[in-house]
Amino acid sequence: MPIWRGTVDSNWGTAGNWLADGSGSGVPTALTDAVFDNLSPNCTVNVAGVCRNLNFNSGTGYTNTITMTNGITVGSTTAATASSVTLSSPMGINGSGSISTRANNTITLTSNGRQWPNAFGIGSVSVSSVTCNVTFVGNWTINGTLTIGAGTSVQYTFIGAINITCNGNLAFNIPSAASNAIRATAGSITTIIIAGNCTWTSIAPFNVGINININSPGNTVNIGDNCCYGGLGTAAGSNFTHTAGTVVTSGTFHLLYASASASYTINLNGSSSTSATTTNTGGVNFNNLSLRTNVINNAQSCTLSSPICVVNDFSITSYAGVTKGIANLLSNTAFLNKNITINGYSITGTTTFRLQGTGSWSENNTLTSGATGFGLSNPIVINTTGTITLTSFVGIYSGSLTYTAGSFVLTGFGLRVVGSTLAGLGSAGIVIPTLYHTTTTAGLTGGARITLTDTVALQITNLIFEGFNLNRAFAYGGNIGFIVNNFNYQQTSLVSGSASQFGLANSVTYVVLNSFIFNAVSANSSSNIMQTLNDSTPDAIFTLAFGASQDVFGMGGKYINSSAGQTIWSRKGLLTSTTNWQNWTYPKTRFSTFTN
Amino acid sequence: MAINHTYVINDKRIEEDLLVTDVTIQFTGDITEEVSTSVYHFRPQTVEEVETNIENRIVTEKDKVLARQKIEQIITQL
Repeated sequence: MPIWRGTVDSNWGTAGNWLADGSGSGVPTALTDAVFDNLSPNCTVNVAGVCRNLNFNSGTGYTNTITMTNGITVGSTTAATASSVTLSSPMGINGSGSISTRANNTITLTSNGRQWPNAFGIGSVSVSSVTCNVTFVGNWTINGTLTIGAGTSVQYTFIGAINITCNGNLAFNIPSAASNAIRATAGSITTIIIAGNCTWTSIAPFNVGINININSPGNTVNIGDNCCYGGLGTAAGSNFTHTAGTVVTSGTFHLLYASASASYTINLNGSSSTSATTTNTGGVNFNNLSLRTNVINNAQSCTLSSPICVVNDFSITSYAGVTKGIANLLSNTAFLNKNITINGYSITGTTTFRLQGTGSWSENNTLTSGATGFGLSNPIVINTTGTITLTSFVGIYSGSLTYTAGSFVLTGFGLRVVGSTLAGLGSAGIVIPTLYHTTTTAGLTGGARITLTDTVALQITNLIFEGFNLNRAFAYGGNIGFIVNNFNYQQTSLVSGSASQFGLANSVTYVVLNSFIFNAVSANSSSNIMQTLNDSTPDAIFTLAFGASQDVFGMGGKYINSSAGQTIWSRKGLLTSTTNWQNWTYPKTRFSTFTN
Repeated sequence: MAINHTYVINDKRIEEDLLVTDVTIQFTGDITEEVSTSVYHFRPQTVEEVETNIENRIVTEKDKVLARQKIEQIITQL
C-alpha cells in the first residue's frame, strides 16, 4: 500500500512521494490504498485523488496537514471490494476538496473524532452495486455537503448507532425505485443530525429508515421537493424529529409506507394555526405532504408524537403499480390547510385530519361500490372559516366525519360510508346529494352501522345501499335519524342467514320523502327485516311521506312504527309488531268476463 | 359592513368523542338575526379551542345569512 512520504515534493500526484508497501507503489489508484502515518509530512492533493482505502490513522496517526486542493474518490471499481475512510484525530485539513466514496458493497467510515470540514459523499460514486453497507465507527461531523447516493438504484444500509452531524447541506441522490433505501439496522440505528444553516434536498422520494433529527438552533433549514422519510428499511425506533431551528419547506415531502416494515415515528411540532406558512420557527410545516404507499397488506404505520401541519396539498399517493395502497397515520392531529387528494386509503389510521382551510377533497376513480379498500379511517373534522369542496365522491371507512364549522360543498358528489359516525352535518343544514351506504359485515354493528350524532336529522337526497352479500346487514345508530328524498335499497344478490337485517335505532325518527325502494331478491326470508337495533321495543319511527312512491318486496318489518305517514305495503315481507305496514293481499279468485 | 355578534351556550353535553354545545348567536349591526344551532367539537383539548370552534361556526352562520340575503335580493331582480 502506498504510504505517503513526500520525499520529492508535497504533491499527491508525484509518484516518488509514495513508499511502495503491500498493495503497490506510486500514486494510489482505485486498486491501491493511500496511507498516512505519524511519519507522513504535509500533503497537497494537487490532482483528483483516487484510492481504494484512505487511511490517515496508520501507526500512531497522521499529525500533519492535508490540503484538499482537489477531491479524493475512495473505493474500488469492483463493487465487492471493501473500502474505508479513516481519519486521525490530530490531522490538519486545509482546502475545500471533498471525499467521495464509491458505493461498494462494504464501506467502513471511522472518524476518530476528527471533523471533516468539506463535502463528503457516502456511496456517491457508482460502481454497479445493488447493496451498499456502510459501517460507521464513532460519531461523524461533516461541515460541507453530505451526499448520500450516486443517482443509481442502490439499497444502502447504515450500521452503527452513531450521529452524523451535518453542518452543511444534506443531499439524497437516490432514485425513486420501490426498493431503494437508506436502511437502518435494528438495534443500531444511525442518526443524521441536520445542524447547519443548510438545505436538505432529494432527487426523488425513496425509503429512509435511519433517524433524521433537525437540531439547528439559530439557523434555518430548507427542506426541498422530494425529501422523504419512512418506508422500507425502518427499524424499531426509527424517527424523524425536529428539536430546534427554523424550517422552511418547499415542494412535496413524502412519508413512505412499505409492507412488513417497522413502524416509525415523526415528531415535527407542526403548527395548528390556520394561517400557517411554510416557515416554522419551532417545527416543520409541510408545504405539500404525500403519504406514498405501495402497501396492500401488512401495512406499516407512522405514529405522530406531535401535530403535523400541511400548508397546501395533502395526499395519499399509491405507486409502483399499486392503485390503492394503505397509508396509516396514528395519533395526534394533522392540520390540513388546503387540498386533500386520496389515491389510496387508511385502514387503521387514528390521526385526526382537521380540514381547516379552503380547498378541495377528492378520492381517485377506483372508489367503487362495495370495495373494501377505499376512504379514510381517520377521524375527519371540518372546522374552517373557509370552504371545503368535494370534487369527487369520498370515502369514510370505519372512521368519522364531524362538522364543526365552514362551508362544505358537496354539489354533484357525496360520501361513500362504511361503519362510521357522521356528526353535526344535520344541524349545519348540510344536504348530502348522494350517500352510498356500504356494508362489510353481518349483524347490526361494526361495518354495517352508520352512527348519526346530531340535534337535527341528516338530510340526504339519494341514499343508496350497496355491498350486498349473502350475509351482510345495514344499520343506523346514534341519537338522530335521516330525512331522505330517495331511498334505494335493492338487493343485487340473494341475501339469507340471520344477520342480514336492516337496523334502525330505537325511538329515532327516519323519514323518506319521495321514493322508497326496499326490495329483496327472495320473498319471505326471516332475515329481510327492517327492525330495531335491539330487536325489541321501543319502536323505531320510520315515516314514508304521503305522496311518496313505494316499492317494497320481500322486506318486512319488526318494531317499526310508520303511523306518521302513508301505509307501507310490502309484497311478501314478514311483518311483526309493525304499525301501518300491510302485506299485499293477492286475490285468491280471479274474475273474468267474456263477451260473446 | 359592520356586523357584531354575541352568543350564548344554552346547553352542553358529551356524546362519545364529541363535546356538543347548543348555541344561540345574535347578530347585530348590518344584519339582525338570531341563529340557534349545535356545534360539535371532536376531542377538544382546551376551552379556548371550543371557543375558537364556536367563533369559526359563527363566521359560517354569518356567511349563510349574508348569502341568503343576497339570494333574496337577486330573486327580486330577476
